[in-house]
Amino acid sequence: MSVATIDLKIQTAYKESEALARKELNWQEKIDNLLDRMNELSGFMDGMKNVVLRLTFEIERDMEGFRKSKQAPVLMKKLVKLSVGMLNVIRKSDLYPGVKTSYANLKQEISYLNELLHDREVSLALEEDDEMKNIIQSTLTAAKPE
Amino acid sequence: MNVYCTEQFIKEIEKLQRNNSYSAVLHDVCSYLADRNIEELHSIKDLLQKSEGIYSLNKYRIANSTSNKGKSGSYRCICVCLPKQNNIYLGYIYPKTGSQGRDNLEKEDYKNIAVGIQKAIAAGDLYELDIASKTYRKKK
Repeated sequence: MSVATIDLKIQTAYKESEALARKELNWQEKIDNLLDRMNELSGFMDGMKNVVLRLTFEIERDMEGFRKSKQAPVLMKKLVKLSVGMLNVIRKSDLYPGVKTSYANLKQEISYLNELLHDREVSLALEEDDEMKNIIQSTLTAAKPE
Repeated sequence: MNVYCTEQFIKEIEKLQRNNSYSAVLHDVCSYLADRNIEELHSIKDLLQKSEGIYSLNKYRIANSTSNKGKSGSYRCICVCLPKQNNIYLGYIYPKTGSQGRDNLEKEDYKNIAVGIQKAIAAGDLYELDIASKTYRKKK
């Protein structure tokens, strides 16, 4: 894959999340029917989890493209921010006690996405770090077969 | 493939094994390594630093067989791969979730682990891990 492909995948995931976030009002506004609201919320959480899982899968397939992409961190940060916002709405909802497990699973997947983003930044910083270059050299010297 | 561990790694393994939720950690690490060769481990996607074919600092996500949380809640294992020497050095392991779960490591943490591995190699202060028998012993 290439940087352009990974950018497109993240862009698509972000658009899907945005669409899901817009639909999120449904489960908050259908105040007359608790079951309808619960179904809407469950649908939203399943959809969101699928988006996140698909995206992490794509990123893992092309970590190099993800590292090189300039757009990826910008889009990912927006996606994570949007997802965390959604989680906060669910956390404050009266329906939350009924979806605790799904909530925890979704939160974990979003946190994993955030970890990939964090690791990308660390990886780039280590690449530029002079001290790390010395550590690599010292390790290679120490491990040299006698 | 030779698998070595630092003292720090062994300490973490022993600490985790005392907790029921992580009791199979050594088994999980050995199973993960047994399924892969040094080249795969060197170029694995969870990559932090790499000199092609010579050195890599990797982060492996190893599933915890005692839970069903999948990759996101798995162990994170930090190691150095030296493919030319056919050696892999395990430096640190931590669970992402649970009572001993911890947050993401920062750049300085990774550097400290890399330094720990380098010092252990230089001093010969390493443990050999036998992935077939899932046991370790001090390197002579």
